[in-house]
Amino acid sequence: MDFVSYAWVIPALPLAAMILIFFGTRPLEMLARRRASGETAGAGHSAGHDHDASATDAHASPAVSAQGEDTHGASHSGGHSENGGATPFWAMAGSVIGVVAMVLAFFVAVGVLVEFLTTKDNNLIQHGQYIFLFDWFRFGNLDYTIAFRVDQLTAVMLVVVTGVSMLVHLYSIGYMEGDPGYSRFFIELALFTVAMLILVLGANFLVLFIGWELVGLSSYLLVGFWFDAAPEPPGSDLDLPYPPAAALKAFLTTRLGDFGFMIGILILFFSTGTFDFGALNSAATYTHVNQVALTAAMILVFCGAVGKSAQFPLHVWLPDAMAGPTPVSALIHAATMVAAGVYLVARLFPLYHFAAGPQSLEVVGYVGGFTALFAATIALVQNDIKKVLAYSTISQLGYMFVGLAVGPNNALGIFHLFTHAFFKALLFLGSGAVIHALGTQDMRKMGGLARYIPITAATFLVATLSISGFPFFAGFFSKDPIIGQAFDYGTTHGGNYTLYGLTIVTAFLTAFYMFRAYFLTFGGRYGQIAGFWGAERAYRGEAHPHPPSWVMWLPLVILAFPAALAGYWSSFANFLTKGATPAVNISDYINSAFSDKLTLIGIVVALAGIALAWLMYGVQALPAKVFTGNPIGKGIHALLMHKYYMDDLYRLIIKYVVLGLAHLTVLFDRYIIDGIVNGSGMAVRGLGAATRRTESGNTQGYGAAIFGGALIILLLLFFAVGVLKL
Amino acid sequence: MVTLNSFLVLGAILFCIGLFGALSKRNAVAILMSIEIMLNAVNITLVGYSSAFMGHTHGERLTGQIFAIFIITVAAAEAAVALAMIIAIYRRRSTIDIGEINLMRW
Repeated sequence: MDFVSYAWVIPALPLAAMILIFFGTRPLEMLARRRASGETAGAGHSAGHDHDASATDAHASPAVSAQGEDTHGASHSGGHSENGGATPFWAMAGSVIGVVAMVLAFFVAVGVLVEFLTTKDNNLIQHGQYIFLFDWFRFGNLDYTIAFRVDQLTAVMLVVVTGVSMLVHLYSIGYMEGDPGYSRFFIELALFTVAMLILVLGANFLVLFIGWELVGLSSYLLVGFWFDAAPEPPGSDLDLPYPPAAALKAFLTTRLGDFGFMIGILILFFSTGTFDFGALNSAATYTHVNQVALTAAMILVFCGAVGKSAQFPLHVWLPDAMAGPTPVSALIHAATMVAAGVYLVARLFPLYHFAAGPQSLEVVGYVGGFTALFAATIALVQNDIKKVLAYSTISQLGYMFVGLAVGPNNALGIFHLFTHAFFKALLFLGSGAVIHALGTQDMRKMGGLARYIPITAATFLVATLSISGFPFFAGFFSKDPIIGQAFDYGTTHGGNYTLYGLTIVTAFLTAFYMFRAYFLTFGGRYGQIAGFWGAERAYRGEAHPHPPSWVMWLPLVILAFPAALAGYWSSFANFLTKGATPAVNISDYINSAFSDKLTLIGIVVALAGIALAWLMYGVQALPAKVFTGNPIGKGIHALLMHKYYMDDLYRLIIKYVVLGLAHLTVLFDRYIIDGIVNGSGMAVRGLGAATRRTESGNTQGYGAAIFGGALIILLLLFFAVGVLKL
Repeated sequence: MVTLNSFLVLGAILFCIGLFGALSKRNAVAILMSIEIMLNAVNITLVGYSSAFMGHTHGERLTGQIFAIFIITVAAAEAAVALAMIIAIYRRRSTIDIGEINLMRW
């Protein structure tokens, strides 16, 4: 089968599903709902109150439901299904359409990947498949083409996006059950997937940018999915974001990076005259290009990646994006939104690495390395399970950028993106199952949950081991090479081991905070197997946890396999670099992973992190007071709890700098712009007042003026041609 | 000897008389008559040129005369319309003094 030439089917399938749900099942569902509400008068308006009703139902204990934050947490997520709000038939039909479309798209994507893995066609390997869709417009010599290009990088991304999206679709059937916006959710989910697929398929900057902006739009829609949720009551310490505000924050923060991105694209375009990635990435294009301009352009393009991939200082939107439903978080964090930035840098890797100055990749590396450590430290103290995962995503994305910056090719970063997609999706879907079971996301009200929801706990543990870099799990094979390469990078760059230090410390912190989250949620003191498994005594909450339905645990189980095993793709670098690096067989791969001293340091660090987390939260032999008891520790803890005051800093900047600037520009607008507008009006009126007197209504006056004027012109003409002389 | 100059001088004199009348008379009918005089002055000029410059073809020779006939036709139509308007104005305002009719004044 010639899957590669039919790669356009992959985005077309979810697009078709989206259209079908939007124009087909959703109107039918609304009609059915109206008919039902007409029959049972008074029940019709219940849809809007589902949240509140379920929230109080979920917590039968008055002690819990009295707490504002808890009710809020439940209205955010969780207990929709508690009061038997079954999904209407047509809404269910719509979601089934979505899932089926995604399954088909996933199979086509796998077909594409397999074809790339098995092909002997050298042309296909080196250049990929170009799929021309249409000419947008031609302008002189410039061709603005809408076209796709499928190569190895795209093939990997296609499988990741469609695979994770497929499982998220399936999972959402359970998670969103009975939600009033059920159909809308699936429409937006499909749009999100389409946008990301367009982004990874695009053959030039134009198509990529269309996908890029669509991703931004759909993340806005999905983060603000519960736009009618009640704002957080004051005094809550979980700091749950208000969905509409979080959506706006996500959109505007990424927009800030996009500004640089657009300027970067335009600089590239003006210096090379092309948008096409194939042309941009070939060295011949750069023989006459100013190196400084190119470096600046690449750093500006990276600004877009910083916004989309939530790197410091534009990371602030990602933790707030937790306001969206948990499946959306899984999709954003694993496959779609944040992967876009990493993909962009990887796509332009030859440009960064060969054409532009070394400063461009240094910026990428140091921003990534700093962000990795920065976000990991914040994750240490979060009490919201989703917040921990959000900061871990930011941190892991930092790793990917470090991998791209220090690597000889883009395989290191993309490999980590590849494995991370699976275990992070698993972590988020697992946390969603927990939230669904309890109606809260506060880890202090959890503990010992492995007793109640063992499948979720086991799969969550797999993902936690993987992200911590525990040996033999996927994260180990993708993260340790980055740390090792960062060390080599330091050696070849005059002994500057900053990046190595950042990444290795982050590895320790990652293992620690991930296992902290695991112990607080599923294990903990009084648990079985030394706290690694749950027990009823370890549970600190009041609500009775109920196990997830099969549509929710099945994706977890499926994802657990790649989350554990994706690292064993030994010749990934060989595949991604089109054979430029030698293929490695699996036993050499594992041997080399363990023979390196650096790797052993990495393993020790990861184990140390796990051990510390176990001591502090597993058996609680080492109370947290040891660290927060003294003034310094307390200060650091407060600093981390306030996320380094970044949000407050932004608030101050907006309050004083942005609004101050706004006040200045208001003056400019009021006096200069309005002055010009009003002034021209005044001038016209004045002129009118002065000249209206000539309109006497006396016809003969007009006649005299016409003939007199003609006479004057005639005389002037005669003087001009010399018939008359003075 | 009737030369082209004779035509042109006559045309110019008639035109000036008409122009003077059109600009100085207060009676609308008198103004209309003055305009007719101006039009006829132009007719004389056209016919004079037509007879003075003999072209090679009939078309070239007759252009000025055809124009004059056109102008006579248009002048007739114009006189009809203008007289109708003057009558309408008179019925409404009982005057045809052009100085009194200044509705279009600022």
